[in-house]
Amino acid sequence: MTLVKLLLAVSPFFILVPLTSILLRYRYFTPALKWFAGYILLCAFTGFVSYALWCLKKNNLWLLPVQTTAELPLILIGFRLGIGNYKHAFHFYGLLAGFMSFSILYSLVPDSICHFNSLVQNISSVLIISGAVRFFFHVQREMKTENIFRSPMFWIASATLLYYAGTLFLFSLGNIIIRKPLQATISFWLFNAFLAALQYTLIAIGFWRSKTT
Amino acid sequence: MNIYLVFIAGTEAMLLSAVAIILFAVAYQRKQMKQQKEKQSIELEHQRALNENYIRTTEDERRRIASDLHDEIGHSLLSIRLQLARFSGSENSRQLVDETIGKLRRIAYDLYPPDLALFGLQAALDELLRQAQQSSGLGIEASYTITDRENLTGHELTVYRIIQELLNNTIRHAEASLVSFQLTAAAGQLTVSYSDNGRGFEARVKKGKGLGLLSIENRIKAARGQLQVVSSAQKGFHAQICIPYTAQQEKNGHTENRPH
Repeated sequence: MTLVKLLLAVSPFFILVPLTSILLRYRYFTPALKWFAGYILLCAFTGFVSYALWCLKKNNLWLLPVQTTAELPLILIGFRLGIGNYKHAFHFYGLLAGFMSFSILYSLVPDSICHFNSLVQNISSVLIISGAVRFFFHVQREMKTENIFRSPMFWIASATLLYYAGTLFLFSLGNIIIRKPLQATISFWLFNAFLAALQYTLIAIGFWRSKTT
Repeated sequence: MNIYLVFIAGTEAMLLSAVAIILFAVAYQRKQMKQQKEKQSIELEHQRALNENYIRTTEDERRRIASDLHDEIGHSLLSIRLQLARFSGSENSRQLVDETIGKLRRIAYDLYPPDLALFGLQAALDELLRQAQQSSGLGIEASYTITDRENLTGHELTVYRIIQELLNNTIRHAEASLVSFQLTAAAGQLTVSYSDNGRGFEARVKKGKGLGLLSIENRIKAARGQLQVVSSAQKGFHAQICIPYTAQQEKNGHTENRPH
């Protein structure tokens, strides 16, 4: 159990890995990577505030709608710029505006900030997964990079695909899990922490690769 | 329903799908890149073959024109010269015919050097260097290390034309006083190292004069060789050319240094 506690305690600090990459490689970033850097900064900010509130034993679930509302446009615009396909701009930005409006309205529902915003989170996850899948579809058709592992976007798309696919069911069941005793559900949060650490590491690799492209 | 079961089954399915998508994308992209490389390689080989064919046709045509000039027009001019001598033609006419014969020989020689077929690459290059030195006053240092002369037959004309073009560039554009080159043919590798102490490549390019480098590159590509050029303004020009050839048993090897 000590190991589990240690892992849970250490996992929030994995955000420092991509943050270091941003600091060292930002000058090589393409516009797409800058949007993903924005996503990491958002994660760092919400992670820090969440950790501080948890230490103060205060409710930090209200941060979830904030993060959900902001992360989707950052990631999807990043993918759009990374793919370089600017068709259907009206539909794309319409979708983002619609999602953000819905997310904000949903967060205004009384008591919603004391629960997981599963519905909004799931819609966001599905859209992000779709964005990542679209990127891989694009890779198969048009990518010119000789070695795909040298492409920053490959690492970032893999990271987001793995994280959001892996946590889709976790957040769907979040409101059921949260009512159970912490000891019984610790493996769920450990799994989430592992996926987050994996995501941050892969994104950091992607940022680091920006110099070679 | 057991929440753990739903979570494990759902997450497992999602993660496996995600990993499958990533692996499929990697495998497919690699396959595509491999096919693209193969296609490029075929196109390059086709381009090289076309280039080689073009150069061969041009050289054959040059050889035919040189032969016709020498054998037919040259002989006709000699006959005219003899007729003029026999019938006491004017001195001016004889002089004019002599000059024409001289010009004709030079043109025929430029079109295709007979020394190359008769005496080999080194003799032809010696003659080329002698002429260049005579016409331009350049100091030329040449050295040859040829250990398997028999196998060079297919590349002799290529090397001759490359050196001829490089010399022309130096004389016309470089304002150089010294040229040096080494020709090495051994162990299946023909290497030409050519340097001059002129204005350098950049200065010549800025002046917008034709360098004939394209012609040299085409000949080298057709022979599956490689060209490296090192040059900057006022620091001279250096070219290294490597052409592979089929090496057979090395015999009759000799090394020779010949200042001109």
